[in-house]
Amino acid sequence: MFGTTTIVTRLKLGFAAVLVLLLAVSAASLARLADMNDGVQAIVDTYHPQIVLANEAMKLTIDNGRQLRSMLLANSETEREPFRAAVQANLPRIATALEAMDRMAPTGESRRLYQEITEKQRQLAGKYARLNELARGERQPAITFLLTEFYTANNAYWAALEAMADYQAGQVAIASQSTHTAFLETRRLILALAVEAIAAGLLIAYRIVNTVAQRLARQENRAAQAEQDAAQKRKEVTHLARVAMLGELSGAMAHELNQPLTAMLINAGAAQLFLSQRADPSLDVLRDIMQDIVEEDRRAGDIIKHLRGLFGKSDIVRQPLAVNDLVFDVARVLRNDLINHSVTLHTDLTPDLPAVLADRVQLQQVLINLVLNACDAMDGTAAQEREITVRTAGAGNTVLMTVSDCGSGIEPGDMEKIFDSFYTTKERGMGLGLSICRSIVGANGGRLWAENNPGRGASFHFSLQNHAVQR
Amino acid sequence: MPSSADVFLVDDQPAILKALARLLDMAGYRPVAFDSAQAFLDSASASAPGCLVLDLAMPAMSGLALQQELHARASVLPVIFLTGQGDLHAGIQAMKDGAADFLTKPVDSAALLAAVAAALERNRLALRERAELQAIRERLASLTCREREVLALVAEGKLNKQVACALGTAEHTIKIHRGRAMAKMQVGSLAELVRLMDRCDLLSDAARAAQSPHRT
Repeated sequence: MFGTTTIVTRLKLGFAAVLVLLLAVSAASLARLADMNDGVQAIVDTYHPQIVLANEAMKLTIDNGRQLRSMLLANSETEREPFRAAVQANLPRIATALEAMDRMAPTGESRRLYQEITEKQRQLAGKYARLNELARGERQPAITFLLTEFYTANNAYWAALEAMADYQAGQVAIASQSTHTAFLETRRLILALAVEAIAAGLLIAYRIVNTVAQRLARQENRAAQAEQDAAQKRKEVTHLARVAMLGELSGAMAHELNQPLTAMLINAGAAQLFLSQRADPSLDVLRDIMQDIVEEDRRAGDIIKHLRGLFGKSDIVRQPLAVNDLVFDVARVLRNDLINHSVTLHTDLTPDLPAVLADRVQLQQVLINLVLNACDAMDGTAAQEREITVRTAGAGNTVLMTVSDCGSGIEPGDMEKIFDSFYTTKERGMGLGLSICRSIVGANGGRLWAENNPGRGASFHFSLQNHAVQR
Repeated sequence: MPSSADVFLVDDQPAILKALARLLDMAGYRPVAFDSAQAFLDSASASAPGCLVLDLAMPAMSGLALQQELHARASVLPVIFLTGQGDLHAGIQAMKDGAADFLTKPVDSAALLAAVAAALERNRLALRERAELQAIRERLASLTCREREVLALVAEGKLNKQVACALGTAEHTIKIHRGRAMAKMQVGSLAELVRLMDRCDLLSDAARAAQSPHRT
């Protein structure tokens, strides 16, 4: 799974990179916007007071205009005085405003406009002064004429102020506009980048997930294939182990078959002798001989069928079995091996045990293996002391079978190790027997384990569930 | 040649026992069947005349073990082994221990009958030999001490004179003893006597007896 880990890491890194990219761009854009905002603010800060001042100057100018009109409409000096005073009061204030504007408008267009205002204001002031003079002298026609000029100057002055105010507002508008444009552009840029980043991220993610999915699918396939191969190999190994047992039992096979063959041959020889001796042989005698020969032939056939079943590669067929019958079958198959090893086989079979559901051939294989192992275990024991006991018993829902020997026993530390594949203490052993036995018993729903006897030797127990329970 | 000699059969397979008995009966022998080595020993047939056809691999007591037991009992019963395994080692051991034959199963009837005939003949000769030796020993036992001494020296080739000298008696006495001894032993010449004693491996025995006069 190493490749998948790398892919997952790459996936994480990819996403992290995209995220970082997004954040960086957003931060940069926000910073830029903040800058622009500051810039605009600066502009506003620059122009806004000027606008305020210009507005104030305009206001005062309007007021002055009104006062002047009222003053001119007054009939007497006394009436004119308050208006005059008001104008006088406004003038310094206008001057202050204009000075402030002067200070704030250092260069360019602002400066020109400001100079324009100052000029117009100077002209206006001149006209006012003249009007004031004339108003004192009450020279009406001149006043009227001058008043027109004054109003014109006033309008010009007003226009200059307006121009200034417009200019200021315009600058702010321009700045705002450019900022807004920049903002829109930046937003568009961020959005575009974000979309691209997400798209790229999704694409990468899709690619990675796809690759991962493909690899996983491939690995699953390989695993399934490996599982199949393993199952096949297991089958072959089981078969090999059986065939290996075949070698061990070849002596038994030959001897088993030899008995009926020998009997048949001797009977045939007797018949031939009988026929050669008499001219008129008794058919009854011959009939008896034939009968015996046929019986022996049948026995041979049974043996071959039995052994063929034992070593075939057939699949498991689970059926109800009586374990005691199993013990008899195995005792018969192994009769000659036991004789050759000078081993005596005792059986301690509980009658009327419930049937177990298992594969007959496989269980026979297990029992044969255990009994042969027991024989080998007693190689070092004196010939007359070699005994194997096979016990069957029922315990609750299970049937228990035990094969006990009086050999050298099992090393306490090896109790579980002996069931490992390829573990053997025999010179020419393959070490597969017990591990396969354990698998077989397990596959048939049982358990196989070993114990050392309190006295001499070891016992191998295996338990199987009752047929009734398994259903 | 059919004779009504006993042929003892020991095999733990009943079908084979039956077939063997049938064959041997038809061949004119008298088969006696046992299904185990112990059963055969218990029947006290070990010392009977005849021959034994024996399966090699049997539970409890094996064929070889029975052969050794027969040896221990000084039985002269010839043993024919039948084996299903053709085990070379066992075969060599069996022959070394004096088996009459070693046949492998499935056994050819003619070969078996030939082996039985040969074994029976062997048994007949062995029994005859034993009987003759027994007779000779009886004759020897009938001799007096003196006669035995004289015969021992005579068999060595000593002249009557020398014998008389050795035993400290007269030559004449020696002659009488010699004549009586030879008659009891039923031999006509010195050569016959020597052959007789040789058969019984008595020459060395007699010499020893002569050297220690107080032995009887």
